[in-house]
Parts: sequence; C-alpha cells; structure tokens
Amino acid sequence: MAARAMEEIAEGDADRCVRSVFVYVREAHPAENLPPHASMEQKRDHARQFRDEQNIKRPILLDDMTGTCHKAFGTLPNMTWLIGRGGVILYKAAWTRPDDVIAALEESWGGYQRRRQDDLMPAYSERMIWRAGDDDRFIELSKRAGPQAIEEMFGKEGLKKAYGEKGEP
Amino acid sequence: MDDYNYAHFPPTGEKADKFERFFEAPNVGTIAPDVALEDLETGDPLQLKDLWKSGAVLMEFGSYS
Repeated sequence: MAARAMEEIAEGDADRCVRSVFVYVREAHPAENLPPHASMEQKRDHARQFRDEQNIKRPILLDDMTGTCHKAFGTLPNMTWLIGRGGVILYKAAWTRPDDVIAALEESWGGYQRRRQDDLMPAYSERMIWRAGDDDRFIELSKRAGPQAIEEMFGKEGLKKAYGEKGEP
Repeated sequence: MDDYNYAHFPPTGEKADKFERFFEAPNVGTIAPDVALEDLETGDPLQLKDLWKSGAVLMEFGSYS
C-alpha cells in the first residue's frame, strides 16, 4: 500500500485546498493477526492499529460492515479517487500510485480551480498505468497480518522467503 | 451479514464475482456517490458530500492487510 507516500502528499493539502482521507474498508488479505471483520468494533481496532503503527495523520473514515462505500466506488483494495468541490469525480485509480495521484492533483484539480480565470473547458482521457509488483515488499508488510496472507499470495515459497526454510514465524 | 468480509484471498465462486466493481463505478466527470462513513477519531457519522462541499477530497481506500 502507498499509505506513507499518500501521507506526504497530504502534507500539501492546505496549499492545494484539498482534504485527504483514508477510507478503511474490508481486510484485503485477512490472516491470523488481522482476521476478517466480524464487527465494527473489530474494524475500529484494526484501523487504530494501522493509524498508530503506520503513523497515519490523515483522518480515517470507516466504511460500514457491508462495504457500502467500498462497493459504490469499485470494491478494489487500494483505489484512490479525487473528488472536486460539489462532488464531481476528477480522477479515479484502480490502484494507488502516488506519482500518478500528484499528476492528477496538478492537472485535474489544478485545472478545475483555474477553469474560470484561464477559460478552460473539461475534457476526458483514460489511460492504463503500470505499477511495480514488489513482491518482497508485500511479503514483508504481510508479516503483520500473518502467514496466511503470505501463503495465499505466494504459496510455500512465499512463506520460506518470509520466515526462512521452515516457512514458519 | 453478506460475504463482503471474505476470510481467504482470493475470494472464490460467487464472492469472486463481487470482488471488483471498478468499471461499474461512476465515471470521471459525473457526481460521486454520497455515502455515510464513521470518523474513527470521534465515532461520529458523516456524509461524503459534506467533505466535498467546500473543496476537493482525495480518498485512498485500503486496510491494514
């Protein structure tokens, strides 16, 4: 997840007149230490752990237990959306890539803010972007959740990579 | 409770069919859905539309796992 880089982007919120938030949804890779949410209290507990251990300063907003918000916006595990004043969707990304988010803030939100003074009209483009797989980083981060998360993504080889030849924590 | 909070990744069968709705979600240029959320710090409910009333909102979706 790009949470740290998004925290850095959020530090420029005031200059851009943007409010950054983190919407906490279902556990993408539930495992021994971070099981699927059985209650809102458990979801709150996971979100607090995330906030405290990852030093998240952005407001964390919790979706409900049935994922109403998550489903309305596309249900993928790490999307980023930029919504302009009044609710107009300016940018939607299936996966969070911070440099692409910065480009969207400058182009889509910046243009929106300048549209009257520069006599701009909206247009629309759609493109595919690419992100690095970074399996090693995922394995390292997933130790927090537990071995199940690693094994379900990368099998026994992933467990060995994480924990050594025995494949156990 | 529906099967939204799956226990294993990837969710299979009917759960997998619901895993991705990104291309069904509203397009750029349209108005975003207004949904109720809960502020973790205060426990207070809030509506998304209240966040973008006076400015832009950058929303990252995710979880700790």
